[in-house]
Amino acid sequence: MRQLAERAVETAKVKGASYADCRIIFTETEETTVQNGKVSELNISEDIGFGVRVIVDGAWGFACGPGTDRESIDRIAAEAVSIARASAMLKKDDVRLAPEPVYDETWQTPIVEDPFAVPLEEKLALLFEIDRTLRTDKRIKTATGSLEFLREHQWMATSEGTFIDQLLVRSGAGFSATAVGNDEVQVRSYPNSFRGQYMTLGYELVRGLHLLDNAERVREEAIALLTAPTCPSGQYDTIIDGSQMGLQIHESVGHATELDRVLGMEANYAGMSFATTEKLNNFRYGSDIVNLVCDATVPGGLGTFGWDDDGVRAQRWHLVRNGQFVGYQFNRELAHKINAERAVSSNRADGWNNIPIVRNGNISLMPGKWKLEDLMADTEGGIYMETNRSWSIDQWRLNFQFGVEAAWEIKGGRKGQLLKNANYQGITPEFWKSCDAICNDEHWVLWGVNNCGKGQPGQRAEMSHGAAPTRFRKMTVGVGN
Amino acid sequence: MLTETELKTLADKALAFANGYDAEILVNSGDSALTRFSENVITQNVSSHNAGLSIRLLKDGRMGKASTGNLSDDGLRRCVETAAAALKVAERDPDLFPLPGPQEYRKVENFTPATPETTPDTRAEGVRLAIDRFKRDELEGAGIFSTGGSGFALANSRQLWAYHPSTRAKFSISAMSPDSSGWAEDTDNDIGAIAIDEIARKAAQKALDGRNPADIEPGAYTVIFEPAAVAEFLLFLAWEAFNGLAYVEDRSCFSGKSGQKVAGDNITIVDDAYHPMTRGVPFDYEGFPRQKVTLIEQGVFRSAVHNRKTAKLAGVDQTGHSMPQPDAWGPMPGNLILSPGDSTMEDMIASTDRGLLVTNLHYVNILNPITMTLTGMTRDGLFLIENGRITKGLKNMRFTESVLHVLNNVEALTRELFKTGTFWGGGGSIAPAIKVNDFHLTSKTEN
Repeated sequence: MRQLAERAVETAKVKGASYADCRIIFTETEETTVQNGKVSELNISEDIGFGVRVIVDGAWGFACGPGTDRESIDRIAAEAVSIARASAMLKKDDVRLAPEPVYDETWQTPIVEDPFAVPLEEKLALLFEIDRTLRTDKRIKTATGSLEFLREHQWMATSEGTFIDQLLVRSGAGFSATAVGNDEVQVRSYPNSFRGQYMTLGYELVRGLHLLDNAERVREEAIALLTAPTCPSGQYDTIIDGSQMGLQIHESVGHATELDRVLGMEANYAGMSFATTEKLNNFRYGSDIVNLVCDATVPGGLGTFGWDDDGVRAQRWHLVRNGQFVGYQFNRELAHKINAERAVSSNRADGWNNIPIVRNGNISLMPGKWKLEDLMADTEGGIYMETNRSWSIDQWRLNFQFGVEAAWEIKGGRKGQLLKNANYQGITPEFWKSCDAICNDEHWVLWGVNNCGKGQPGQRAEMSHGAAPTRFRKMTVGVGN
Repeated sequence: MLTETELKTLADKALAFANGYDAEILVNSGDSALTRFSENVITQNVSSHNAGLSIRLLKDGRMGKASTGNLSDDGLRRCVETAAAALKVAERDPDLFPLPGPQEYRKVENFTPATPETTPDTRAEGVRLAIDRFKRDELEGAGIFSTGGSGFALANSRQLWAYHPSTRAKFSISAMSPDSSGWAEDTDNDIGAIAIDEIARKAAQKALDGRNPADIEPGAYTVIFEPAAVAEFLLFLAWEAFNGLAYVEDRSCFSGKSGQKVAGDNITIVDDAYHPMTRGVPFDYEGFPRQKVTLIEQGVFRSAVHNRKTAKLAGVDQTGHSMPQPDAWGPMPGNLILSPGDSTMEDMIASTDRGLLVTNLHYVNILNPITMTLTGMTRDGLFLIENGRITKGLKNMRFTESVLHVLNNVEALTRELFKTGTFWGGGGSIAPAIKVNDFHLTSKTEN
């Protein structure tokens, strides 16, 4: 593979590229879903292809194709060069890449148990057992459980002499129960909504989640929601659980601090950002206890790797320190826009058939000092919300509104009755400034987001967000209820 | 992209390797290119050649599936072996449907050879045309110019063969001033039909008209939605309400409501792959001919769309809307058309004493599937209408509203229909602009 990747780079250079890189990627996936007593997904796939990225006349070009035959590699590399020449017809400045050391390295996701080696029979037996447990009550109209595994082997060569060989492994598992009745449709999921928890781990993730042990509780909560009172509308002190906090971080910090978005490169699709460059080191993003860190080295994160798709080594850096806005996510191309000498590891592509773009990484809210029971006890009246059901945010990453699967009243410092159809709305900086308590590391979990969409053509990326239950004062909740 | 003959050769090889099984092959190939620009310069320029094949095997009530991007003989053989191994451990399913035999399809022409042959230079020239206008207006432009073609085929061991080639060109542009934005786009199978200058003019005018935006307060408003915004409502109806599986599992807001009034008399929604503005794929992912389905007729709910499984549970005929099997989500319409009315945009504005004009919606999502309550933001042009004319641009607003409430409060629809995509993708829809009373905006934002 090294020879093929370097052949593409050499071809591009001969054709006139001042910079070139080639990524060859071989992917294997296994996706299994059991729904209402039937196998509703059992797909095993493999795919291989390559993408060539070049700079010619100071402008980018990218072309890609399936397979790895030499004729295709030569043809695609030449195509990338001709595309770059067209890009140069409409440029303002030449592309400038921030310097990065040259590497010749390998990296691999550390795993304990190869998920592809676990027999399919065992995986199906687990999913059917969960399914049976969820459907012991007829009010559960839809029970869905899934297991998903991916192994991605990447080879990257650049005209600067870097060669990186990486093997990434991701696992995912989860289930949900949808209850219908009383003019309601209510869903509960475990360990998270939208197919559960995903991490760069092996099958040890599945074994550690104790899926079956939680099926009965999930079923009963889904049914209880059918007759639960509706979450009230108004301003309430709100404790948000770690999994919902993960998506909150993703939408209101992750995407907001992508420098390409700040500079308008996403304006036609996913939008821009309020966190403009003059605010860097000069803007209060949240309260003093808010520390948000992007970390491509954290074990288990979906955005954890050895090197990003710019060939930049994985790093850890603050985006918000003690409430102050101090960092962006950016690539080698954009580093000079904020006078950075080196890129952070934020450039990633969806497979071989997409060009790398700046992506939301493993961004986590650092834990505080509270135990959850103490935080509840410290909250006289309020709402506790758990597990995302719906998300929406404006194109400046300011006005957001999230719906959750379940909420509970907090009364007199105790978790009270279950509430249905809960949601909350806010404006990003005001929201983070209202944060006055964060639970400790015993409650802190790295939650995987495996379906983040961005870019034109659309690309999917995976990342994780660590968070513990967190309290926000006087939140607007129950919008439209 | 591969020709029909090349796709058939691949499918036949895979079927031969799958000898001894009932086998279904989905095979696709496509070339796509996209030029992306922002701040009035090209920032990204890509070309992608893709091909893939999936195999579904059935035997003795069991099923296994595998897919591959390796279309060599070895790749196809390994794919069959993987599917066979999966089948071996799958639970027996007494309700597994057999593969259908050969079917007859209506011809749907949606292929213009010039579109995928477009060069990067031609796309760059198109972008330059739009940007030159923006520079004259002191606006910044961001957007895409994409072109491509694809072929999709389905074969099975019972001699079924279905093939549909299509092409697509799209020009989408956002125009930005320091405090406003505008947007417009057009898509067609024929690149020659994309009127870049007109798209750029529309987007620029929105941005210019929206400068110095004013604030309004949350509350109930009369709102005129342009077709792109209407398509967002239709997309969620397609996913959550017209979905045959949601319907039979009582998760749809229309479950059990066949023949009941669910919308105003002026609302008729059909799914029609054969409409000249949709030109959809004339068969579903099991090879059944796609049927035109009336979903809501003059406000009365008529039907969801169905595959064989959901049709059996609903006691009706399947409608040719199967997704690739096996399928956990359920059959969905992909060619929705909201029937037009007899109004015009000018008439709708002129008849509004005080209301709003919404160009597009952003990041819409569902809060409650039974009430079909959605939330989302306005974007790229929110305007105040006073005494029958547009008077000023406004800062964007969030809405939280039931689509069912919208469908029962449509005062007028335009005669003209538009083809439009959505934020989340999907097949897009054909929609008029609509004027809606009592629409709830629930919070403000800063821009």
